[in-house]
Amino acid sequence: MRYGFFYGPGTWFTNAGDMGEQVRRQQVPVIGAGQGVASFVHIEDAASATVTALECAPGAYNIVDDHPSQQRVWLPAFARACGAPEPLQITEQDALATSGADSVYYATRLRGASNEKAGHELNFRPRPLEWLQAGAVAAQRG
Amino acid sequence: MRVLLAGATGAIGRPLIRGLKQHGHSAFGLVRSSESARMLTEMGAEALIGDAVDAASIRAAITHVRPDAVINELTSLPRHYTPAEMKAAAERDSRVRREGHVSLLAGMRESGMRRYVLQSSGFWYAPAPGLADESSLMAVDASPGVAAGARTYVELE
Repeated sequence: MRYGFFYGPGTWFTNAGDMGEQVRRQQVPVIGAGQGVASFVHIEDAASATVTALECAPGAYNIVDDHPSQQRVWLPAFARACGAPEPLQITEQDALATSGADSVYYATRLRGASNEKAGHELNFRPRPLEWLQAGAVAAQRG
Repeated sequence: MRVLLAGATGAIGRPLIRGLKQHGHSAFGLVRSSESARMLTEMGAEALIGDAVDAASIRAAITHVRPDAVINELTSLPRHYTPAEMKAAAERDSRVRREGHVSLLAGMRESGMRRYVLQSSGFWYAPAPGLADESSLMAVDASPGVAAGARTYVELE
């Protein structure tokens, strides 16, 4: 099960979770152009795909939602959903000095994943990421 | 189906136990503390005391349950998702995943079981245009923390 970043109850990425707290304190900035593409999956959708996988053909499955999105899109949307101020923007150079190379990688280099195989083989139908407006999602496709 | 879940009390463990029950499976969870065992029992699952880094406890659990399938959701992640805490937790997290995996597979082989579901990553594909499919390469040459994590997943798979 190649899961996306978990969000929803009990995870970091939820209003009451650790990332919710961090964005309310403006501790998570958009780094550089924020072009890294993150794949998320709701924790309940991940769990139900895993139950289905008990009886599927062996192999790897991307368990991610339909619309991976760039950091500059998902982070401000997540912040708004958590009642947080707009995230700060910092350069890659500054982020490298303050947060390290992994933070820069996450924000600028991540690649999104396709769930096409899980859709066919596991009948996987993940819910849309609740923070993202339809327009913002459309702008990230392709 | 009798299903043994390792990592039964994490973020995905709880909805997974519920999902297994809803689909008519018998759910067994590996937990470290009697407190977690109580929580699992309340959810209608059977708890077995064991630790990912204690091979004997894992094999004993498998011998006892004789599951039809094993789901491995073992992690050791920090409370706060910050670069500092992630870095501090990385070694223990990797150890839990690797040793848990080896012990679970050894126990399964002894018992002749073949169905194993493993947690891996769909967010650490190597940079390239468009979306990654399952044949795409993992980011094993990324920044240090990401590369180490991606290598762990590649080895486990």
